[in-house]
Amino acid sequence: MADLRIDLAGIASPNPFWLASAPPTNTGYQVQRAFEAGWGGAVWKTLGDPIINTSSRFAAVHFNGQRVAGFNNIELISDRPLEVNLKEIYETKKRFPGHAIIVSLMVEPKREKWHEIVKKVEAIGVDGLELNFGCPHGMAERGMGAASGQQPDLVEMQTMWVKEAAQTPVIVKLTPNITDITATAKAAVRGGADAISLINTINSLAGVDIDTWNTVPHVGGKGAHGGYCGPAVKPIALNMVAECARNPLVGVPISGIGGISNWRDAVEFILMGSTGVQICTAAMHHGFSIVEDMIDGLNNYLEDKGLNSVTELIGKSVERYSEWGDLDLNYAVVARIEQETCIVCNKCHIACEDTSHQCIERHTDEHGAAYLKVREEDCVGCNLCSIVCPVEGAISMIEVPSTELPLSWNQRQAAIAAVGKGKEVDGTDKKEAV
Amino acid sequence: MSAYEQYVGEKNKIDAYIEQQYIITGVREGLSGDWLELKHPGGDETALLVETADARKYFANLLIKQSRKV
Ligand SMILES: Cc1cc2nc3c(=O)[nH]c(=O)nc-3n(C[C@H](O)[C@H](O)[C@H](O)COP(=O)(O)O)c2cc1C
Ligand code: SF4
Ligand code: SF4
Repeated sequence: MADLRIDLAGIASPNPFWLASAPPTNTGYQVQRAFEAGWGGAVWKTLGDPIINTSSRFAAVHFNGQRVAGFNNIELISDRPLEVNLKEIYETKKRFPGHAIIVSLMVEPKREKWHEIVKKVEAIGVDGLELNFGCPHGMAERGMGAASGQQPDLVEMQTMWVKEAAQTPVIVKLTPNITDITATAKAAVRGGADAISLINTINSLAGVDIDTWNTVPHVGGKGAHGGYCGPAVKPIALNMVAECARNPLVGVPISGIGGISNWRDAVEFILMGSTGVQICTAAMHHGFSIVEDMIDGLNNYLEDKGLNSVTELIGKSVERYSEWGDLDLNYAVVARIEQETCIVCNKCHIACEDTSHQCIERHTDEHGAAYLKVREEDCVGCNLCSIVCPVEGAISMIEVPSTELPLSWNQRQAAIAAVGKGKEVDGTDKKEAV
Repeated sequence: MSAYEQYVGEKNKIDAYIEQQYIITGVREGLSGDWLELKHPGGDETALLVETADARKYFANLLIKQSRKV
């Protein structure tokens, strides 16, 4: 068995799988059952002045037969008094001393408010705090959640206030509802954050009912924007994690969140710089027992790779994530159709003909059977045909060895700048369109 | 004409000048493509409008090789 233990900014956990702050971590009953099922840690449902939720709260986007491709909610933070939560947190920690309990907090951007809640929560013995600057809906009028998480100066200041009072590690949870996630990540670090977690949910409206014209979900005929999560947001979350991981001004451990549904997703987040991961939607969709497959899958993967510890994976793909301008323009792939596996459905031909570079030709062989062939010299290697092909392995993207040294756009532009614009040779007769 | 044929046409023209000892003396990027300015050691100058992406990549490779030589 590989070593699955992690240490995120001083928070030890038996494995990298934590439940994110959300309905699965609402009560002691739930978190204790989650720990029994195998979850390594839990970020308790956000505590603050207890709120009142609406009755209709969730909606999902089902896509082409897959249920819950995306999940939308208009739920707020905990609706239970602080003392009730603290009592259950205490009991849970007592029963599971080796598991990580992090408590999510959200109060008004006032120093004394933060000091008060931090002291009360830490007094009962928790492993860390997570500051929820990301809740996309609700209580913006009091400057909480995303309302403060979108302003780097407020993120920095509130983190600083928390750090003045906190004894345990402080994780700042970032909202993705911002253009440049590193702006707030850096602000959190300037404020003294020990770690960051991302992403919270993305502003969303799950749908409009075209029969009733109501929003989905609606509360008695009215809707409000919600937060989107689940598998659909994974690529957005992964990019944001990567952007933080490769920014030297961030430089603190990352707890990766957003659309993680299985051990493979978790490995991707860890490779992109997360020390551990947090999961909400997948647990809401399938229950706590999904963690068993996650633990088994991760363990088998590490053993297959010959690695002893999950920590050996952290950040291994970060250096491979760069700027577009640094990519090698001389690198080339072309599509190749494997005639044995191709079912001649024509999808690739249509895709290339209508929306790419018109280089998949239809031919007929000597027996009158149709087959498709890529005119490789015109193929730009866009991958579209292999994306739309319904048959695994029918189209391979083949690397075309280059005789040239790597050439990036930035190198090209530097070379052009070095040679200059020339002196605009006189006489149109001298100019030749080649 | 396929994109590849257009590229080969542009590449051949550029190669023809390079074979005659022309060197690249300037590149002007614009909406129509890149004007590639070439100069012969004997003094003759010319400019080629390079339109295809592959040929614009091709001359950049040449330009980098040329800069390594000098
Ligand atoms: C119904 C619901 C309620 C949530 N409540 C909170 C919350 O109270 N505090 C918080 O920080 N994040 C909250 N979240 C966000 C999740 O913790 C998590 O960041 C997000 O769902 C992305 O992860 P996922 O794709 O695994 O669901 C909530 C998410 C959902 C779906
Ligand atoms: S990779 Fe793109 S350009 Fe090449 S054949 Fe496929 S769809 Fe056409
Ligand atoms: S999409 Fe795939 S299976 Fe269909 S014709 Fe193209 S290669 Fe064959």
